[in-house]
Amino acid sequence: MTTQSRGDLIAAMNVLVKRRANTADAQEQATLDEALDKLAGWVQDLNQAAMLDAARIVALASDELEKVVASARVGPFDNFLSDIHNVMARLRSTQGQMQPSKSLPSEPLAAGTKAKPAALQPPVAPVAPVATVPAKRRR
Amino acid sequence: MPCQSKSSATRAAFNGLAVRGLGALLTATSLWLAGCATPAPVDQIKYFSQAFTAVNTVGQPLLDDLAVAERVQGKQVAVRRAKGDSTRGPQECQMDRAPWQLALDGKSGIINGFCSADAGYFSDLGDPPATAILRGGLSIIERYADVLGSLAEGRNLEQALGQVDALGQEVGGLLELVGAGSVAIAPALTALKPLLESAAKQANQAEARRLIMAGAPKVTALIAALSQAAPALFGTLIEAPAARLLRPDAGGAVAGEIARIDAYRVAVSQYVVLLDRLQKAWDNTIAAAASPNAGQGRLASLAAASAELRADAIAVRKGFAVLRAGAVPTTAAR
Repeated sequence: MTTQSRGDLIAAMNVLVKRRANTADAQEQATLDEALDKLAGWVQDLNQAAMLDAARIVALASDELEKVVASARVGPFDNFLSDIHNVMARLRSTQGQMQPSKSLPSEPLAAGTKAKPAALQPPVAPVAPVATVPAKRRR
Repeated sequence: MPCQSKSSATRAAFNGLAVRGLGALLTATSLWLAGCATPAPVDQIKYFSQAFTAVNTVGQPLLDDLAVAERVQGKQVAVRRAKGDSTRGPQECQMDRAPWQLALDGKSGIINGFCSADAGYFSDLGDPPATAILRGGLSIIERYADVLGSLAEGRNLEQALGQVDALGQEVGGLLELVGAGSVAIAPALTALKPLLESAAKQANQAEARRLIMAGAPKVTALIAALSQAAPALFGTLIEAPAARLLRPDAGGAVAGEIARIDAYRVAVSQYVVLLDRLQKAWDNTIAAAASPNAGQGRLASLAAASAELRADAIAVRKGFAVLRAGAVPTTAAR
């Protein structure tokens, strides 16, 4: 909105209002009312344009501040916790490296010993951990 | 245990990592303590927050009224556009696509078309477009002040220390799992707690100062934008009562409409004055963050200003209560 155009419109309305106050002619009054209504409408257009323009500027400024708020590190230990979590990840990795030891290759057989064929083994109860141990190591 | 034969080597590896973890903690803590010794401007942040509360006290009811006025304005512009008396709005909303259709009485009618851009005016869900943006502007300042306050006053410390405790338990559990329980993490963290708390405070203050410096020009720009919106806000607020002054049948209602417009002028003026004080409070905050030792002498005046703000907020609330009740005093002799 230009302040001048708003001012001009209201000045024009004031002229019409004064004229209306000084005439007793109903037809002229009706014409003046219609003109006033039209001018008030134009003022309304300018008001709405001004409102939306002002809001657009506020929106731009709000977006900029929003970025700053979004960047806030509100947890004082966030960086530290991240470091420690890295250490934890390494701990877990070390723990993971232990797992393959459960199925490490068997120790070489002593010279002269023969592994018994599995089919000749006496039947044993199917206990899971024991079953994973190679037959030659059973006692 | 299947890994029994390797447990001592594993335990050593775990111990090494755990000790390094604690070492990292101590190192980080020491760095914070050494590097972040500058205090945040706690009092200035509090004052800024109070100044915002005062703005919000007058701003929110003004925006409530603005929402009503903006809706009426948007609907009336839509009707005038449909009748060909206005060209405001996008192409899809112009008269050729959404024209005014008269009813048989020749007076009443409808907009025979739908304009999506006008939805915010015809829907009563939330605020209409401009009001929503202005309210959003206040809301982001509120969130910013809240983050600064939380950091400066250490409102986040309990949660932060809780996270460290939880981490300690997690590490302890992991060590126990592999039979390396000899590294007592939890007692170590308990012993470190005062140090951690101190480090957290320092980190908070450093972050608050960083946020103040990063937000300095942006808060200023937003306060200025809100202040510059005041004439448009006022124009929309008084549109309906100003139009009623011109109605041939206005008669005895004229004085009431003038009083209402005057009351809005007072309310919007208070809003602008309080925005100006908010800016001054912000200037103080920036100055104190930039040179922490220079602001100590200003604390007394800050306390006085805080008291003044509280008194203003009460006065503003009373003023609005009068406006709501409709018993608005005229401020100009007529």
